[in-house]
Amino acid sequence: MQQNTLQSGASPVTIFHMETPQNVYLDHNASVPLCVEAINAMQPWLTGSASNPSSVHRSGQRSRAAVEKARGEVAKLLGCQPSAVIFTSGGTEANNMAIWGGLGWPPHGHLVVSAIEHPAVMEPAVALRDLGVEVTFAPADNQAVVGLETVRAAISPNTKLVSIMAANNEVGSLQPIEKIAAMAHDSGALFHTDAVQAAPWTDLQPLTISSDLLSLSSHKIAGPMGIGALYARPGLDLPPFVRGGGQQGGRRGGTEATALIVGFGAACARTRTIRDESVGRVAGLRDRLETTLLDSIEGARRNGSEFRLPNTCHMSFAHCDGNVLVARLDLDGVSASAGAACASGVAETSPVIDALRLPAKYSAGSLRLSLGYETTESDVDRATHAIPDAVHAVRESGLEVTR
Amino acid sequence: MARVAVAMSGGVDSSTAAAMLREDGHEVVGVTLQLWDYTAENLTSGRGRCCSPADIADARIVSDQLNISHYVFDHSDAFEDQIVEPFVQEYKNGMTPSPCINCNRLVKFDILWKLARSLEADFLATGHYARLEPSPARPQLHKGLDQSKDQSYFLFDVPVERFEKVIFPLGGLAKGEVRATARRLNLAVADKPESYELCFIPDGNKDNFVEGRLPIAQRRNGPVRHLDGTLLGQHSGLHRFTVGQRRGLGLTSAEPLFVVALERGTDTLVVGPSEALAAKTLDAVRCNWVSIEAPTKPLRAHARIRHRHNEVDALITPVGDDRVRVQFKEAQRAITPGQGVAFYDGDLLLGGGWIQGT
Repeated sequence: MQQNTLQSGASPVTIFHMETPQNVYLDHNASVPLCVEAINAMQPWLTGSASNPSSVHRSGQRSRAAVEKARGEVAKLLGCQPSAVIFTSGGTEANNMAIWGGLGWPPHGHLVVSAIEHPAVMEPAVALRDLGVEVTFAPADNQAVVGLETVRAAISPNTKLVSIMAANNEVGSLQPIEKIAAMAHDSGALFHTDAVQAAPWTDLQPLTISSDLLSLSSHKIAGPMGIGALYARPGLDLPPFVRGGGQQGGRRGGTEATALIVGFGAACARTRTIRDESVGRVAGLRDRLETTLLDSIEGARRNGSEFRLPNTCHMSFAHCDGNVLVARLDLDGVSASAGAACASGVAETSPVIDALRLPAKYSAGSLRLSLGYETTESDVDRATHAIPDAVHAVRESGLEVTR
Repeated sequence: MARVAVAMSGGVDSSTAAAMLREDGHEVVGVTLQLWDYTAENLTSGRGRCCSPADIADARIVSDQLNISHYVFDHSDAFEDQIVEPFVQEYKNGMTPSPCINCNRLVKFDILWKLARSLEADFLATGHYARLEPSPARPQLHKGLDQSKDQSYFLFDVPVERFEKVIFPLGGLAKGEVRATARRLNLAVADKPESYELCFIPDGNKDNFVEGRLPIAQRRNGPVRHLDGTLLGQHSGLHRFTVGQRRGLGLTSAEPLFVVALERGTDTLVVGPSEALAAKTLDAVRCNWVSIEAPTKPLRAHARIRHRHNEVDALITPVGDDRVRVQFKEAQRAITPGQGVAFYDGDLLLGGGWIQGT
């Protein structure tokens, strides 16, 4: 251990350094580590050569070309034409733009969203409801799947937009998007899907074809944070959500973030190259992890549908506090989460957990393990070794499990 | 090298405690309890700022400086149910509560202690100014070396077995040394001001806080009577008063009058002259013994009847069922039901109990 005492400067500086072994990272649904392809692609744009892509001069032209090339990469991942891709500051802005914009300007008509949407869809929906827009929250079943019948019941002749996520971020359940989209279209409504969590694992083209609007986030596919995209079906008259200098055809104001967009494009290209070969291998690792844990831990159950993301394992342990479990696992070298990562860093019970309708003894003891393309056999071995001990220790501590 | 879970509030004391343990080469894990619900309502109504987002952010920054893991756990429900609501109810009923003593017993050395166990920590450390010395029989809890910062009084009600795996890194330091250590290590909170108020009433306005949670219909208003029986007026709620209080009575009289007693049942505020505040005995209930076994026969010790009180000679006589009668050599002023009484032998905290009456 090396120690420095620094007297100067008010900014926080790490004063102790210690080599710690790399954790097994099983929290890819929260964020995927930046891939080397994105780092390399961004490098020149971070070190001073980025001009405003809207500038007339040669330097601006280079930025413009880089942005448009990246737009093409996003379009290839989606299976659409580049002009249908609008860059946003991330998945949250893409969802906000879709929900607000899909209802026209000013927002009007009836909105249908599922009860297990990400907060980036749920909160705009709640805000619109508060403004007087009619909103229906279609419930999910106890496997976190939104049933066709519940959506059918929610849709009315006045419905203007239906928004259902492609894959749930917490438990990984895949939703019957193509059928729900068809139902929306049959009644004359637009259909939006939040495909942020599905993007690393499923072929997006069928989703794009089915949808009028589709959200993506760069950092869930190993690109940089702070960038995302909304697909808007060509010809769709979509009002801007962020208003400004008329960039991106007037659909999204603000100078395009060249470096981030270039990194996002590189991550899309990488995803296209290695996704299909990774799905089967990762599903195998996930299944082994899950089976081992179910076998070795009493009072354990797995949640979500059979039909789910190949990388996501969501479990609940009876009489166990999931938040404490995650802290304990972190100290034991496994990075996981109790549910979705939230802004405060203090997890709360989510509507998704509520939807599972778990027996009370399980309700506070959730653990989400989400694998990535780079997860190895040895990672899974370390996790299957650490988790049973951690569950045992948390249960034995005498801490009262509430919620 | 041991794994030590450190309770980190984001203040200079607990931050320095964590840094000292880190300097000693321990594996330090920071733990912060979020004990207050940060809804917009609470913020805009100016209610509590206990472990505010800014304090939690400070704890995170210091943890990053120290390169230690740090976790935040939300136990605001328990804090509300076990500390804040009983605090309001005690005031309502004419007692003067001491929530920090309860927080040590029910939160810091219970929830936090169990969290430390869950994290497989060998020890729990806090920034209390107190000293623990191991002993074959049971841990010996001494006052903090800096008498002006000593917090041993607030620890009298913690079950002694909870101190077995506890470290108080600041117990042997003066406050100035703590600041100096924080500055030497360039801790981000080295110059952060101290808070002297209850953590959930940062503005110190106890009456506002209690009344915000006590509808008018629930307040115990009633008569104000002189000790001699004269009716002097009406008061608007027992919660506004404490034994020995002079201000806020709204009385005009030739002699200065003080609150002498708050009578439950009749909700009477009894007032009298200063001399009437003196008493030579008190009864304490729910006693807890820290550094010694529960006494079975009368014990001479020093007794402290509130936080800022110099201990005085007393004879402590067990009267069964963890109750004691305390007889003072010299009469004490304003012995207050609801406060704790702690017993010392020199610097050694023997134990304590809850004052029921005189």
